[in-house]
Amino acid sequence: MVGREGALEILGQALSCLAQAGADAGEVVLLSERDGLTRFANSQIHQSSDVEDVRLQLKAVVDAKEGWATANGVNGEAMARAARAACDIARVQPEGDSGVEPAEPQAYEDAETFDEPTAAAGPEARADAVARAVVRADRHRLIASGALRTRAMEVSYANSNGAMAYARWTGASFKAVVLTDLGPDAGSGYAEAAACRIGDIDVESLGEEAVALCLGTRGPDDLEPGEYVVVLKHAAVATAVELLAMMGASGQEYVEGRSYASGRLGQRITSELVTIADDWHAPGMFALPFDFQGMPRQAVRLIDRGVAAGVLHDRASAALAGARSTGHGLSGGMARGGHPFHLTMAPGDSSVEEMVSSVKRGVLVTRFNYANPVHPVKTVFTGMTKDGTFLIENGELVRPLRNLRFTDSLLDGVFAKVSRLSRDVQMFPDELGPGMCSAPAILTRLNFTGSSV
Amino acid sequence: MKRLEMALDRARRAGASYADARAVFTESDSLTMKNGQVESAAASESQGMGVRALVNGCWGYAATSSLSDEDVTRAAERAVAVAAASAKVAKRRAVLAPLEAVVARWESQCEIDPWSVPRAHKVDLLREACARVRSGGNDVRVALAYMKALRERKLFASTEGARIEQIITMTSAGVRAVAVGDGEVQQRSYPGTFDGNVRQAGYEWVEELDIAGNARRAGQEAQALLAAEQCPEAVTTLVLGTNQLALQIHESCGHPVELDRVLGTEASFAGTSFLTPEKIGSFQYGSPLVNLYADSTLPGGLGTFGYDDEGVPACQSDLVRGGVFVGYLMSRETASELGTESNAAMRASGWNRMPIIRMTNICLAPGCGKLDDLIRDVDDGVFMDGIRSWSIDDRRLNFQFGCEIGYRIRGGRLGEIIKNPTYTGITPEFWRSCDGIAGPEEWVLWGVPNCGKGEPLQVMHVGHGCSPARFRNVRVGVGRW
Repeated sequence: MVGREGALEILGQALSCLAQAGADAGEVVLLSERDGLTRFANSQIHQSSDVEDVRLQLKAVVDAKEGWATANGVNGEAMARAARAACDIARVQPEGDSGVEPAEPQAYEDAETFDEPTAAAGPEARADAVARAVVRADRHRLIASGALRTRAMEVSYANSNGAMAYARWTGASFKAVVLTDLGPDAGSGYAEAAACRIGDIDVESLGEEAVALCLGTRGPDDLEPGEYVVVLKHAAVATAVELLAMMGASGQEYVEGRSYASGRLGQRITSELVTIADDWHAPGMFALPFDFQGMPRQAVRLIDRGVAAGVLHDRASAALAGARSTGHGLSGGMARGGHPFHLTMAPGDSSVEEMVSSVKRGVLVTRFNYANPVHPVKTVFTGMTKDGTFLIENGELVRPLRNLRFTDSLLDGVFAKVSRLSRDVQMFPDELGPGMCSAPAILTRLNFTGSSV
Repeated sequence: MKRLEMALDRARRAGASYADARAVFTESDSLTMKNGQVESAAASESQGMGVRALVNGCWGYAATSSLSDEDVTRAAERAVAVAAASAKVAKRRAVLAPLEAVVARWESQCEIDPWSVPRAHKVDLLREACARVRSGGNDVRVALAYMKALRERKLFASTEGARIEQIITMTSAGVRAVAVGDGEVQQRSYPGTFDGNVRQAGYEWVEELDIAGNARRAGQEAQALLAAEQCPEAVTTLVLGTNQLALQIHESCGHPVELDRVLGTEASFAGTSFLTPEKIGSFQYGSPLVNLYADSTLPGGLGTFGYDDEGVPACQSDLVRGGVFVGYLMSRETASELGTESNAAMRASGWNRMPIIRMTNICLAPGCGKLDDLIRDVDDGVFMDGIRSWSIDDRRLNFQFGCEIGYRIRGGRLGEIIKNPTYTGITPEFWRSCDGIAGPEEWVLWGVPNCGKGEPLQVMHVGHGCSPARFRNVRVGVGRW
């Protein structure tokens, strides 16, 4: 971690390097992180790591053309080399690209979610916490696996127009998967949580939750394929929200006609009970008031009471759409359009217990596994249930089920048929990046097309 | 190498019984054009070092992007500290299978250095390719053309005396057409879905691919898919093209033979495996035609190297022989549990990740004949190719795939195009239904650059070689369309 003053000094040096290399204008993004992860399996810590990294992304604008270069050294030589590379790339681009000029200085909201104990958490503290979770499984002779992760991250941005921004935040996440054995009909339970502070993650309770689920899933039964009433717990809904965002939250895909929202903004596309947004102000989210193009990061409702309400824009897709950037741009020469980091689905007024009680015959799903889009515009997706799938009859969980495959549409199926949402939400980490997703549990219907054996 | 030795010395003095260190220097250059305009143009460099330490039978890993003497030494100390902390929750101690340490250097093939090719030439090529994609149809809304080069220089040293330097160059190129119309979106890629196709090679690979020469067809097929009939729901004969079959092999064979999954160490993320150890030598994984093997010596493969990230020499090993499951992908530690030696499957995605068991090049041995011969023996079925969607359960049994394009097969001939083709199955039932594999003349080596595994996540390059194959009684057309 370099700190605010250190970051701004590095950014200034990088901008100077770009100017010396011949850039007419430039942008620089500095990312640094300390990432500690304690991983356990077979009820012991087996893979733990502690990584420090820094990445500098430089954009050169030469003759109204842009080029990007990334380095992970912040010494003068590395910066100069990256600056020359960015300029060389820009010079040979074809004419015709527009909107490459850096933004003017912006005003950003003042917010920070940085927790010193989380940033300072080391392998010993994580190991102690993992031990407290594993012992829960040991008492029942179960096999515990999972991971406890603590991260401290910094992002800073500057450009040749004088825009400058700095943010830092911390994050922690814990996941436990508990098995009875490694055989085909093993009981398996799961629990997971994410927060900005390690102190907000109750490792013992999560361990107990995973153990209880595991004990309840021994000896699973089969279920015939078909559409069923389902209670989807928070983790499954979070996956569904993230997948929907993948299928068209980006303004670039919207403009190109490849989004579920293309041609449908302002139209009802799913149940009026569904509201989904990308909002870093939502409770529990990490604060990141700007994007990687120096634009203020806004709260954007993607779906507002069932109506397609918005998409996420960076400066390039906004220009194509005749809109304004929503502050969701990436950098480093990556794909254009906006990318979500703070997905949230609005809760309702029910609970998992109340939803289960209302079901005559249906299925309780704890989470989805290896779920992927099948068709983006139709929002068809497929995946498996995992770690706690139960048959519900007459308002009660009657027996565990083998994991089921589902193939259904998100907007025309799962979200269209929502009838209740829980009043509580839970937070989950994005395994692919720094993002988070907050979701309630829901009562809806889901089309099961197969099962494991 | 001097800094690696400094790190190892520090790790030893801090209490490690074994340690290894890797310094990795990576440079990449990528260019993507969309509809003739630059979508992204970027160069990237990354360097750093990671130290893996074994203390009282427990592992620890620490990595730093700074290669100063102070930070290198501190990384070694941190690795030992992580290992020592891991001992707080330890039930068994890691034991490594024996290995003869080597001093060696290895470099992948590269005839034309990608960095020696003028960027303007690459821009012109991709712009031409975009134009030809768009010429394939009026509804082709997005024409993408892309290429990328990556070079990795890796230094490895261990407290056992290994000193290994490796240089690997990879190149890829491809196009994709996206057609949009009437609430439908269809895509078609050439040569394949993942970055086109990726090889360990220089720019000669880009020239061989001839993306401009094949771009128009991608556009034509995407256009045709818009108006095609929906893939029917049926249980039928399925013939798979090599791009899709490569992914089938990846998900249903490559992953379940990773011994760490089998032994439970990936249970919290990637999952476990149905190929448990008592099945070795007796479990009928596929039909007698099916022979699957791992080969990290295969020239040009994304999973090819001289030595893995434990210093174990590259090798070939059988996974499925005559349809019977016979072998795993192993590390020194997991091989020790089976009383055997590692077959060089430990790989890390970069300096900032510790090595874990990964695929190398997982291949299906060719059979005989051509794709036309496979189709000729199908009275009523479906041909599918091009990767579009994928999903499989955590034990690698129940899978479902979606492809870019399908064709009806009627009376032994390819018929009309069908859109949104999907198929599903259970891994051993599927492979046991394999009754035809085309011959070596149809064998293609694919690169899969985006295999995800591990916590924190590691994205790895792996390779798969195969010829088209035929499977009977497969459920196609899954879901409600």
